[in-house]
Amino acid sequence: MNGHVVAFVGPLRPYVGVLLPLFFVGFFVAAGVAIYYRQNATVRRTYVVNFFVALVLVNLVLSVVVVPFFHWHKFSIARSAEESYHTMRIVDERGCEIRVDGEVPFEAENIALQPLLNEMYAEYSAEKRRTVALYLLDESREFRRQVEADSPSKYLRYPAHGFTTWPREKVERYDRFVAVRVYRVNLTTNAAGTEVESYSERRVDEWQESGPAVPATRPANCPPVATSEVAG
Amino acid sequence: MRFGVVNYFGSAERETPLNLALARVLVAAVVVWRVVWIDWFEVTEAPYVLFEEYRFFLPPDPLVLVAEQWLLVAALLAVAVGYRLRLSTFLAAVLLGHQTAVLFLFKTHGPVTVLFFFVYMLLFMGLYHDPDALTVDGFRHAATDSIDTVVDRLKSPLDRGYSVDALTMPLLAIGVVYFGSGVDKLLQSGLAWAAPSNLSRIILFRTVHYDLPITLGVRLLDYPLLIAAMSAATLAAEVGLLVLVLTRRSITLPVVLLLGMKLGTLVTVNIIFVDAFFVFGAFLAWDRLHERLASDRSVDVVFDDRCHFCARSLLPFKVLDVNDTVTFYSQSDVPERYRGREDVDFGAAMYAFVESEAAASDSEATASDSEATASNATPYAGYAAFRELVRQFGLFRPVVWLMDRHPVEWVGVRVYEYVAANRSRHFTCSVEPG
Repeated sequence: MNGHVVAFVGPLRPYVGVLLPLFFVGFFVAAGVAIYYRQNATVRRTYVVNFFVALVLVNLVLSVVVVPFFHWHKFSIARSAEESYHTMRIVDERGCEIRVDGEVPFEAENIALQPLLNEMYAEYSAEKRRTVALYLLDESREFRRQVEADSPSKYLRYPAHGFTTWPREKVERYDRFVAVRVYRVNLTTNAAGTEVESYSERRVDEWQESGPAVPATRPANCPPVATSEVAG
Repeated sequence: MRFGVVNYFGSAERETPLNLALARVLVAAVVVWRVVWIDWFEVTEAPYVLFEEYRFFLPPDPLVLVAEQWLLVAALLAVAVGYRLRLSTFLAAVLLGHQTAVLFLFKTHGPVTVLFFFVYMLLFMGLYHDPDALTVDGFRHAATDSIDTVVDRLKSPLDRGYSVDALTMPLLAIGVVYFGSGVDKLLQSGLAWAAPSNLSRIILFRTVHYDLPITLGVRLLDYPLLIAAMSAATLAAEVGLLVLVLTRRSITLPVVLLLGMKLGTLVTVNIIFVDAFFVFGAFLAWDRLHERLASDRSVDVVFDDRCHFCARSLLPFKVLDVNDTVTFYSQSDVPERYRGREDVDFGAAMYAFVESEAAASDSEATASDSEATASNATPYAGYAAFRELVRQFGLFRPVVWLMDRHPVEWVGVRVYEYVAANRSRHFTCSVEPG
């Protein structure tokens, strides 16, 4: 379980299952009452004051999202020279890898991959990690079909959060996707943050639905995992 | 009179309700565009949620979410045209709130949480709703006024002062959110956040792991001062927006910097937060642009002052006519210069007499004669008269373009003819002249 909201409520933890739904419903009940009695200045003012108290608390004091109040505390922690994190790749029959891109649309919506990977290795059992990984494998196959079909309907969709890192010409160079791998990466950059000083990765998990085992090493003629090809 | 971002906290009233109307249309259009593409069967297939404590948001069957999705679209269409706004804004806010909460179970990034901001906008639009002439509610509300009152409003100068609280509160809210974003960076990292190494590492990380179509970011790594300036500008804009809002100063600069930051992330790390452009688009001074683009040509409108429906239909044009170029005449007081013309039949349709801008300046020179002599103004009847009224307001050129298209014109002409022919039967017309 993500610890943010739970840590915030502390002693109220046993009641979280009741308090959070109550807060969400209460927010809209209060809004409904305020809109219904909007001509009463006291009602309106009370609603507005309470709204902003809650918004300020979430944004400046608690630093946790209490739905429907949100914050945009993005990239707040300055990046350090040494970083360690998980990364996930899809593997084809030959053993070639392509990074699962958290920004690419899966049926019009995006999967936020990094929070999911953090959650997978902080909270999930081995069985649940396998279930989620195979689900992402299936989603990747579907997304590959979309990339290869190159339907004009993509221009009608709401703009994605990022450019896809799966261009059609790259995806076409892969065989059938059959497995998922997760690596633990250690990255060290120089003091200026402009160059990679060292990069190492260690495979921590591999999942495959069925079929013959995927070659353990990448063949030489694989497309690069990323343009700079630091990885692997 | 500048076109920029309006600090509503510093301006109690606007001359027209145009900004609010366009904000309603913008929010409704963006949210509809966003939600219609969500495949809830696909999304809810995921075998995980990021927040177990919020699992209760998931309904037992995704069909519930699909039903909500299309009900939300209907509610947003009502919001866009200003129909039963208290109910439609509230309904849309509740449905969007739940849909966003479910999305939040799977993804936490800005394009999801920004939908909560649109929930706030909808709620404040409901809370501060006043049925103005640019809403269907305003049109319905005017039905309770006597026809004399409506005709009088068309012919008299307007008391221009429209509350902007419905936009002030969301502006404050987005100011708080960005302020929190900037303060959190300072609390977590101090000024080290703005050191060139921080942004450089973010760019480098993305470059290492992704096939980025735009590779400008990696080239910027050679310019640490520029990187530091971009970081400092981000901090200043995030913290400064709320400060400037509360001190009632211009907020155009921090908004331009924030949007510049979004373009910066596009070209450096290839992430675009397009939603921010829509958020701030709702706070642009559209009314100033409207005033600047409004035509100087003079338009005289002759309408049926026994028809309540017809008179009410003209109120939005009266409200939008900030330059006082449109003059309304009822059929009982048609100016002498338009009487007896063979090319008009006042009993059959509403007329708009349009003088070209050159002719208008000529006639100014002989203003005293113009009442008595025949006018050379071009008459437009019925649907075409409405189109000329819309053409008067340059901001609505896309609408005029649409009205000129054959299928739209074909439908429009027939709708007008139906209304005109049946106005005494279906459209609450008064038989007593004003």
